[in-house]
Amino acid sequence: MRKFRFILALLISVLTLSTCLSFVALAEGDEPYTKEVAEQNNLATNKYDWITDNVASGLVEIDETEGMTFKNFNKGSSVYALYQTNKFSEFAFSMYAKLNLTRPSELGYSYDHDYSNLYISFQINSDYPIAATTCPWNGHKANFSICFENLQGFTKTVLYLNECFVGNGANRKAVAESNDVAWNDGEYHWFEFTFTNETREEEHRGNLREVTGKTFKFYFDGEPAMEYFQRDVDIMTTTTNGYVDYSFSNTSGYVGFWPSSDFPGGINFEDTNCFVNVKTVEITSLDNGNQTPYEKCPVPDFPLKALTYSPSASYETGLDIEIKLDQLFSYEGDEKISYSAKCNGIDIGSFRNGYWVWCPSESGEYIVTITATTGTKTATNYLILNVVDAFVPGGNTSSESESESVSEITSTKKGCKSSVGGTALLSLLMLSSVVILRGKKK
Amino acid sequence: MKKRPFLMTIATLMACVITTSCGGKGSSESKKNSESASTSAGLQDIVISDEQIAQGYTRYDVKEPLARTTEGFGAQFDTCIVEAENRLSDDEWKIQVDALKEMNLQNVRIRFYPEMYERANDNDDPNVFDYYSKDVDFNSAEMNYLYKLLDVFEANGVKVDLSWYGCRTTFDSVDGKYDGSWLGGKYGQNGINSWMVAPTLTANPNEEYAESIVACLKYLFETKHYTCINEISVFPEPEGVVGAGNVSQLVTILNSVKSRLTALGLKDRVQISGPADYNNNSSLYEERYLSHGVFEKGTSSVYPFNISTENAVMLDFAQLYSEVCEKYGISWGIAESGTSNFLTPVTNSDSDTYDRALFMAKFFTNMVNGGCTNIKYFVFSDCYYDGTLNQLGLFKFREDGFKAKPVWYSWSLLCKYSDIGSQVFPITDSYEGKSTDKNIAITALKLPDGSWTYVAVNDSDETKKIAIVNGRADRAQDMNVFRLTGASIPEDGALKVINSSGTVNAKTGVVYLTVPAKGLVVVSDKTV
Repeated sequence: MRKFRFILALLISVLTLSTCLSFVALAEGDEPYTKEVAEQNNLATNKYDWITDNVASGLVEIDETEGMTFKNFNKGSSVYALYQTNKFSEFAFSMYAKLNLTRPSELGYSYDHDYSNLYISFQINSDYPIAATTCPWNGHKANFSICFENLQGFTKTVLYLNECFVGNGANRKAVAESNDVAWNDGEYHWFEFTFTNETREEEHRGNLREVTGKTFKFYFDGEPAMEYFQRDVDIMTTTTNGYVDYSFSNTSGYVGFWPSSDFPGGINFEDTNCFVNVKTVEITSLDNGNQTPYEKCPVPDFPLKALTYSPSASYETGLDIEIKLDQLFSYEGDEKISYSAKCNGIDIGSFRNGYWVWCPSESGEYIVTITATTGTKTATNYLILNVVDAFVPGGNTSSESESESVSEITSTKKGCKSSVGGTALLSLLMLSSVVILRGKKK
Repeated sequence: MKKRPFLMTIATLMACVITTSCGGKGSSESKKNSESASTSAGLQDIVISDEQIAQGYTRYDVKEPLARTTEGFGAQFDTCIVEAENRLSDDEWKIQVDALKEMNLQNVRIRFYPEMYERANDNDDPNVFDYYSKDVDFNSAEMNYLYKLLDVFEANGVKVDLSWYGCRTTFDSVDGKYDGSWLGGKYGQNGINSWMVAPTLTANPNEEYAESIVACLKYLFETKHYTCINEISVFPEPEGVVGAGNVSQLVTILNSVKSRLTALGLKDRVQISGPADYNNNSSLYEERYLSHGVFEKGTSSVYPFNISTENAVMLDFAQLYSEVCEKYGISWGIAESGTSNFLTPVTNSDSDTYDRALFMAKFFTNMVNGGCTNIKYFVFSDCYYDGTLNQLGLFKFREDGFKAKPVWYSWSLLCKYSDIGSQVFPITDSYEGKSTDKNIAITALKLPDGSWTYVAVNDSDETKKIAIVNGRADRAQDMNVFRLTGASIPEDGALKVINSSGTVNAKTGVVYLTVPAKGLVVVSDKTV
């Protein structure tokens, strides 16, 4: 019995072991594809590498850990993000992302075509980066786009040749597509492609010829999923209704994202759960034999500058002086600026709607120091303001005009918020005296 | 202060002397008037000489009135706001209504098209409209959107330009039964790539269109009893609907509408306005549109200007258009307007800026001085238009708490202190001459209730001191002063007209004002 039990135990052990081994093997065979992206190469977490734009509630958040998240793209709202630091001709692009692309009919909303999608546009051939050009028909700059689209429940991956090279990005041709790339499962995946120069031999009117062009290869979770060669000559376009030549081989451009959907305007992320999160982006220019990925650009040093400002020749007592702060300082960074204004070390005036406002009540020369501070930067503007006593019209028309004039100035004083406003009453009395004196002179 | 009675006595005596002895500009007419003119307030015509103007102030005379009175200042106000996509609650609709009451919205244009009620052809006879056709529904959801607006306009004295934009090729009826336009086709099919087109289908597309317009007007007048609709327009910005080379189609339709309305005895109820062109070329305007003699009220879409545009350029524009309309005996007005700072058709780079607020004041002043009788700002409030958030409104949409934009504060002020039927007394009606200040635009309005409103806009970086001279016997006495500057825009975004900052006494015939740099000053004795 003991022997039997031993044999049985041995058999079970062997069976168990062999089962475990096979599990391991299975697990090893299905191990998710991954790619190491060094932190300094993860462009998705560095907002300074991207230029963004939006319409209405369209939103892209660029977070140092979560990467880029696109939300609120619908028929009324758009959002664009373009890698602005470099442009290139040949390149490799790697992205680890979740495309949670829901569609209107799933959630009971009206629609035209019932879709949502993400375009990655590339070879955006513009002189300088413009975020909205990631949509091919905005500015007509993006020659190519790979589109990941949930269209009526079909998960489609399409490479478009946009006819931006002949000036019309609204005309585009699906030059390669696949319905087999299963990216719309609510999981993160690796999306990678290369765009490289190639010379191919092809038959042309019965003869073989060599043509140059660009080869696009797309990999999904490490597996080849799509390939397309675009030659530089004899490109049929619907824009010209004929053939044109265009050297894609020698054209550099930007790359960027444009998600869209036909959810109704005003129906946003909270209602749709439609979003794209890009955790990592690595881009390697392959131009001139380079193989090193781009590193994050450094945080730009946005200067806070005091601008030259010429005050009016004089200001009058009793009237607000308003000076727009963006005429005093320039700053392109996103740190909050706080302001202070002092005269002889004492706070003067107030800040409102982007203006410094002060209503002087006494004549004289005031040296006002206005300081802008971001926390790390400070700039100061010194203003010399010449304040004269308000001139009170009267004397030559009728006595009524005197009260009218006083009335106007009195009214204005009601709105004054001068830090030296305690003398306002005295000033008013003085003004009245001036009026009376003028009357006497007459 | 004890001296004041003495001073007043001296002044009164001087005023009498001045009235009887002074010469100079305008004096003879004023004298003539002074013999008979003496208001209930006891004021008389007076003449004010240059010497009487206080030093440091530049004199600006309230000149003789233009022949035409104003026909309203308002906004485009479309049914989109009450359509389902905007999901407006009753409280949110009340915000819109309260705002239009607060600002004294005087007139509106409403985008409209036949598919809203004649959803398919009533019958094949364009001369007999079948109100009982299964495809005619004056109680459709779309028409109820219209009635919701018209009810408010009717109750608040707002005049309506009901504007048949064309055939709505993207029409998708709320009840899901109708798709595209029976007269224009369906977007995306047969080469139709515009959302609004001219009628092309049926055996008599032009007559069918005219029949549809008139049948609808008859219903709105006689069944719904609306009196607020006093103007209709067809295919505004017609080049985009019929094409520049096919204006004759528009003319054909308008002539047919006119004769049909006349036959029904309804012609006196509405004026036919148009063409709301956007060419900004008065010669072309005359040649292409006015020469057909079909418009009873000339209109334009005006977007070529922004805050940087010189006063003289805007004034010249208005004068040219008004003059060309006068040749045909009609007024000229602006069917829709804004600035040239377009990003998209429904977003401007200056939408939320004080620049836009100041621009609209400058625009208003130069337009009315140049003879424009009515202006509609595009658009009343932000809301979704066919899926896209239109951000050109005077105030924001739900996500931003319906808060006023800076432009609300200038446009509401100008609407509040004017009224339909106001006489326009141009002040800066020319910017020629070396000594002329090219940075200040001033106008005066005399409202139908006898009150006066002066508007002064300073687009320079320097304060301007002005003396507005109006010695007419019917001049104002005490006037409220309203000042708007970049810093004074209310920070809470309340949909209220700004408060008066005080009063000026205008009895002497001179109103001294200090107009802040980049500032708007309105003074008025209108009782609100």
